[in-house]
Amino acid sequence: MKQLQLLTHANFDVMGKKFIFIGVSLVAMAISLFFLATRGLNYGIDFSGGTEVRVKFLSDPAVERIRKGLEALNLGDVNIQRIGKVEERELLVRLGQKSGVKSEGGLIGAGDVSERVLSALRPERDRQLAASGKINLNEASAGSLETWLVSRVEEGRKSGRISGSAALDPRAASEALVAARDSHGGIFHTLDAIRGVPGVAGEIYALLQEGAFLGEMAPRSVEFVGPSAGKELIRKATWAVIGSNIGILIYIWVRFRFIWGVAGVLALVHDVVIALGALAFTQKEFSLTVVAALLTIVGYSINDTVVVFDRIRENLRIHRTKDYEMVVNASINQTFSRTILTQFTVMLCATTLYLYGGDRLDALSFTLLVGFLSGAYSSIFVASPILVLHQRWWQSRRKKRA
Amino acid sequence: MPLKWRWAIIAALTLLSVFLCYPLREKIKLGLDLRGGIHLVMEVKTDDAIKAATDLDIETLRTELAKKGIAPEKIEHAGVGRIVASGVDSAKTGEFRDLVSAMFSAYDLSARGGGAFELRLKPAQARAIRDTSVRQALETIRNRIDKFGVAEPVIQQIGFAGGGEEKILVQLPGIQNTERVKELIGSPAYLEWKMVSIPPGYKPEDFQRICPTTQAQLLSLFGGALPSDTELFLGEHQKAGEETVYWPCKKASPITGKDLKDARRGAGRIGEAVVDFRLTPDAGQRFEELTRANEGQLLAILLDRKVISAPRINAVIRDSGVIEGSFNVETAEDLAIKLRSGALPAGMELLEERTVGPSLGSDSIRQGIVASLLGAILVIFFMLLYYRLAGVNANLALVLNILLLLGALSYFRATLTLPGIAGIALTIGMAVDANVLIFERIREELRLGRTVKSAVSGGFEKAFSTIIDSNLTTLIAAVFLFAYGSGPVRGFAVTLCIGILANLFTAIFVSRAIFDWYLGLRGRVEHLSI
Repeated sequence: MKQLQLLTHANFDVMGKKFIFIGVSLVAMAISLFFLATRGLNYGIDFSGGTEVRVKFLSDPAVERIRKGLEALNLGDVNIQRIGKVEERELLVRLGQKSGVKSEGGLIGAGDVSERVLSALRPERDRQLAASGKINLNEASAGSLETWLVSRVEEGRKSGRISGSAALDPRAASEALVAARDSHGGIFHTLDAIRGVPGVAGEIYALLQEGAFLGEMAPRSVEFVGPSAGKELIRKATWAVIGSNIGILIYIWVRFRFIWGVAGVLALVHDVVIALGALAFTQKEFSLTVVAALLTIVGYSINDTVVVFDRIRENLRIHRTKDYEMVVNASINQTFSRTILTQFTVMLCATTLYLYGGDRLDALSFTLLVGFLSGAYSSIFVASPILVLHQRWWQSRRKKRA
Repeated sequence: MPLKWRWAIIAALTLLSVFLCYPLREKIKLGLDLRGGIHLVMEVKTDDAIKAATDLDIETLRTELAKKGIAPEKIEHAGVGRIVASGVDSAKTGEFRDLVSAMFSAYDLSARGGGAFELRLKPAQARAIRDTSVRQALETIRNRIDKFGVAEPVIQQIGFAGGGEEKILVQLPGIQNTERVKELIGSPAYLEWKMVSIPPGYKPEDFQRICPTTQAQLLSLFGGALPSDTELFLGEHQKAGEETVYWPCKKASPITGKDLKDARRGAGRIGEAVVDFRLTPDAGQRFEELTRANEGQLLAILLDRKVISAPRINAVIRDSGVIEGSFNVETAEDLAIKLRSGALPAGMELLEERTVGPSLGSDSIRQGIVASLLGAILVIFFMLLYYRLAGVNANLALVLNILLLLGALSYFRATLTLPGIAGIALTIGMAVDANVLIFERIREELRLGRTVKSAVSGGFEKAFSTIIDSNLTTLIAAVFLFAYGSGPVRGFAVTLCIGILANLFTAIFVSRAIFDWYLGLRGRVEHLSI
């Protein structure tokens, strides 16, 4: 059977077109910087502070009503977006942090923000039903459900509706209900759905039928970040990216040469700038996990650059007399298949993550995809040409001196 | 190393990993973002504690000065840790200085001219007060959460101790009721009993009926100005739309939360939720005297400087009583927990709150597993397609790689977070990289006409330094990521680091062993499926 080969005998004149390749990179970087300057990054609440709530709805959410209600809170910019499939009826609501909105002291003052956001999302009907003493099966925690059931059972026993001998376990029933709700994606669509839940039968089922209702919404996550956190995190993230670059520079300097380290790091800066540019262009949320993606790009993109460098070093040892540029060109061609193959397998995984990993990993996997693509390009077409350009400059300087 | 030994090492590590990570569900600790729960970061407002300390010192200073016949015009709080006394009689400044330096050594005294002096809390003292209040807050919160009952809570101080970091991290897995928990751990729960000042010409029971009253109305009842021993306090639990209510109460608090021996949720006359309390013997005596002297009057109960109820004293109360208020079962239970655990020494500010419901977490886990498995299948399929039989080798190494990763995660009790799952998915993609480098090198050697055996050993040897260099540079970035990140991001860095190390081992050691075994099996091999 014939071996499957990819670019094994590649013989591209990469060095001959090095100015084109570097030019493409410079243009891509310029475009990225342009988007960064004009659109800027869409900082998530990790960095900008604010409240982010993810809510599922029973029926199609009235986005405009919700927006108006949230704007009335006067907390900051309101951003509502649908996530997942349409039939999931899930919204991601983000409220910015207005500077000057200060907590009133104590947890309650500051914590109220997320509570206020939730109650602004809640439709009037839910509020009224809850105020009338009914329990919201789509929002109640196991603890409050249990408390409610216990008091109802007590009442029932007093009034003789529930016989004193009936063995009821409100705790087990509440826990089973909440577990069932979680396995239903966090929301019950009909009251019938609770019929089969273990422990929910007889008296307890009757109590729930009578006194429970299905709230219009089910909060799936609530996040609040105070205004003070952001700047510190951005500073730390910047230092982590710079620090890892310096670490890599030093490693390559020790193992190869200083200028090779510079070339490798320039390629990394290129990748990070392009990934940031893509984030600014798509306005995907810039969160802590995106910073993690950027650092992964730094770590992974250098991987392939080092593979090429290693080959150049090896070839330089063997062919001492040959032209530097030719050696570099040959090395790139010899490692071509490797670079493509290793990037390809990682891209396969990053792509499945982007497509199937869910929206919470969307920005992370998107950043990785862009960064890996850029990394594959820069390992071949940016880092090595820089070596050649440096070599040329150095030689011409030496000639002048001589 | 003989092949036998190598197999032994590989088998031992495989078994160890399986042992460590089986059953997966129990051994891998899930982060809050996957498991669901509450994550809170709070800052202890230690300025409050310092203010409380200086307020106390102002009172002491005033009485001590009065004993010596010194009466400054004003002694007041002037910013954090600063007290200003003005209008000290010029003849008595010497005495004033002596008294302050003798009794208030925690302060630096400086003259501001014109008979004014400033007492400034020494930095070391201020630091000590701040540290104590953070420690107390931590203790109190721990107490409250223990009494509330949460499995595996995390309650710790974060940041550098002594470096001005006064943050407390609380993580409660599996809890969803954020509002209740925030209230439970964040409210100071400072309880006081105060006598209500009844305006002249009113009977207590009549006043009780017309109160709540607005601030302006109240002042007019008192003839325009409050008595000097009375202050206005807000009433608690205003429903939306209702007017703010004020209660005129005496400044002194004869009984406070510190005098409590116990507090439990109880039921009132009509079955409503209340809090039953018991006082210490000493406080019980004071309470008895107080209620005897003031029978028929109103006694306000204040929680965090807000009046929760102001019942009439109908009988002499000794050491046990009831706190009424607009409680439900949960809030009464929580107040009882807070009272039993003691008050927080200072206010808390919420810096970060993250609540993830378990349904979202399990959705994410499912999606993460689907994406990782799909990625793995694609990679495995591709390796088989491209490298044929050698692809089997790479895929074995890949599977072992994941196994080692899971084993290591279990062993280090590392927390698997959502980004951590992404890290595992990426590790799958990177795991075959080293194999690709080696296989391409072997192909190259074969093309040069080497025998299969020398091509294989040449391939491994020549690819070795490349693999080390490229993986170590990746590791550098992963280590920086670990140092940078907290929580979920750190989980990602951990999987990445372990993945890289496992990758080095499987590619260099395991794949080599498989090749050597395969070649040894065949004797003379003419052709290698690679």
